[in-house]
Amino acid sequence: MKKRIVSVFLALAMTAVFLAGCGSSDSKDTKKEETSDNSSASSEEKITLNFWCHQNEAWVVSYKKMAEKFNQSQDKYEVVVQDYPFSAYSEKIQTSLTSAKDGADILAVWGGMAPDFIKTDALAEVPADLVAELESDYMEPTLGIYQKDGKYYGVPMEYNLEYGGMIVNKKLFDENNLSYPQTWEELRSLSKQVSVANGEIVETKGFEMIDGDALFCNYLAMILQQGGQYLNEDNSVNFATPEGIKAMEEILSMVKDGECDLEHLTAGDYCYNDVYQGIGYMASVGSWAISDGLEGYQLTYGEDFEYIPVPQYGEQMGFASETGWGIIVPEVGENKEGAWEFVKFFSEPENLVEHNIACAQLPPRKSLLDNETYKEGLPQVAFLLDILPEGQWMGPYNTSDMRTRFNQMFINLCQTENPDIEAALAEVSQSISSECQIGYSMK
Amino acid sequence: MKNNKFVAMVLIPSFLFLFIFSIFPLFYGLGISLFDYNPSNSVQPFLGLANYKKMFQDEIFYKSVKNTLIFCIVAVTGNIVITLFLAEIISVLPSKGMKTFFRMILFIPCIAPMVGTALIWKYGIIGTRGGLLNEILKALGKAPKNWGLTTWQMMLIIIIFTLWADIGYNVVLFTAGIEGVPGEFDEAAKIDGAGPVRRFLSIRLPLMGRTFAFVAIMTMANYFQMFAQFRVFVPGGGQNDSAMVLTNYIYRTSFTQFNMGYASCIATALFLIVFAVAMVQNRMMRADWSYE
Repeated sequence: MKKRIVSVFLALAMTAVFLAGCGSSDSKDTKKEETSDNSSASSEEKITLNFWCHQNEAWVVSYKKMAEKFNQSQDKYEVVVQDYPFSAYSEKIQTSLTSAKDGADILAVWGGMAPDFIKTDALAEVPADLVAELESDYMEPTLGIYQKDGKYYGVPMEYNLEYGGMIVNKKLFDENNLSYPQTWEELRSLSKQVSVANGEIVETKGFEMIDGDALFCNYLAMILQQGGQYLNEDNSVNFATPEGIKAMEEILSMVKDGECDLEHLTAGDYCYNDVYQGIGYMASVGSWAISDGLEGYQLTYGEDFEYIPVPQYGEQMGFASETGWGIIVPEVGENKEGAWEFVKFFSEPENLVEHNIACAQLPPRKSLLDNETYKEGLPQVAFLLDILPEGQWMGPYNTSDMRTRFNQMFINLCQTENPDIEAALAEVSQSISSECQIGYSMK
Repeated sequence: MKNNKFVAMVLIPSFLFLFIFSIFPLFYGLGISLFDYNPSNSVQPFLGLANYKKMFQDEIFYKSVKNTLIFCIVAVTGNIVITLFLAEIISVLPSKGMKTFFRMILFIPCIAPMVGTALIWKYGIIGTRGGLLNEILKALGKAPKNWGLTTWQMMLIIIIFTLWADIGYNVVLFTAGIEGVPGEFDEAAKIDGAGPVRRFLSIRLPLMGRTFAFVAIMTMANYFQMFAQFRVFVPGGGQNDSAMVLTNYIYRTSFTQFNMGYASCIATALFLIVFAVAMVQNRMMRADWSYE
């Protein structure tokens, strides 16, 4: 009898837990109570808009400031910022887009992951007034990926540029009485001089540009700076051109000469970390890495490190940029109107500048290229503003897949004794053109 | 009859749980594999067997199957040999306290979350800078290696990690199996002059058939589904997909490329492979469930 009572009790408990687990709850209200940083009596009457972003200390602080500013500017909506690890962020967005109630109302999204969502019908179309602004004032590379069938599905927050600047370890330069390189030849010569290799590993690195992002962006810039082009009229790519082969030979020689290694390409992290850790002199990276040095590594700009131009490789300035971080709004969201109001507020030039300065990002608007507030706020990256108009959009590609294929080809070339560079470039061009091109029409 | 009704009643929640979280997803996944499925889309186009056709032409799928089979065969064989050896050693220890102590030591890695221990191995053991392997190479006067560039060596490292992380469980099962063999058989063989190795191979091992069958089938089924260590050590599948296994490929296809229909198709293939292997093993290892 006792056994029976226990069995019944356990079965009932299991059923109760099971039903509780599968039951629905109005989680939005709960979230509001739990996560709102500035819950006040008045906010209870407001409609909560959940804004999702990835974890980046400086960026999240800026998003929260923007939300706070927006919340104070009107009485109808309350934006609440929630952040998630970047490694799981793409999956989070995917899940969010399917839920009208429990997902986000506004999402920060990186251009590299955006095509996966834009290709579906899960995103809301950008309102006409914002489209007019996008078409008149935003630079081409910032918009590229957000278009489908002539419509826009995202609003850029930045101009994503992985080429043009490099983090330098000022302390190492000062201690060794070295000055920053002004030309490409000086850069290579200095890089060879200071690097110390031990087998496959370079213990002290000279100039680094071999990681998941920098390698591909620098390579494309090197082609364009020689007057070459990798993007064909039919949008296919071809790297097996004289300029493409020459640029590849140059990069391969950096590894063969022991100036840098493949550590970051295989580990999936960024080479600027070496500079911050004192084991590298120079690393090519976007200006966003400055905030990591300041916030993450707690270093001092101008004392421990600096951000300076990468000497130009070819005769003319040129580079390719992929669409960077932007904002999207799910179609299923219950408060799309409020969401777009926030996006418009965010995109206002004075607010955008504030955000770009806080995140060490480049502004996406043409009208901000001469903005004095920006130049005063981020004097260290002002040199990049001059080259932004020279950039071209990387092309209608899933850039993550594109880089994965390209980087694997590069590793294979590095590990081959006498590689056939032209054949390898031709093969990867064919594979990228057929497998990585975006499947929907942009215009 | 009355008792059967009662048993059926209290089992309903468990069956409900099993149906909703195991059986239903299995068939749902099978259904998804026939569609160009993306949960973000409002319409899911029906593809018929197109995903399966694509799978049979997919080079990475074949590589993943090959790598999964290599991993399972080597790791399961290694696991059984090592755990049997350790269980035999533990069973001959003189005191119960010592047996418990060694079983506990070997079981500790099983309690630790695999993602955590894999991360420690990735950065602490095979890390390029300060990793144990490279420090040993340096101490031997050799140049350090970027282990992320290796192919079969990386697979071997993952197998060794898996054995380290997982042997405790089977050691406990085999120790129990060895202790369950009646002592008189061993005693009789001893009187007949059989040595310890002969007694183990000819007496205890055959009499442990049921434990052996259970361990072999469960370990094989479990190893086919190993994911965490592959995701940590080689998230992209390693150099030229040299360490890409089916579970990681399913993850990449569904959550990186958001091609859930195709991912379900590969998952169906994995299910069929595991099912077939388990059936073959079950037939081959039909155990004699008594000692008579």
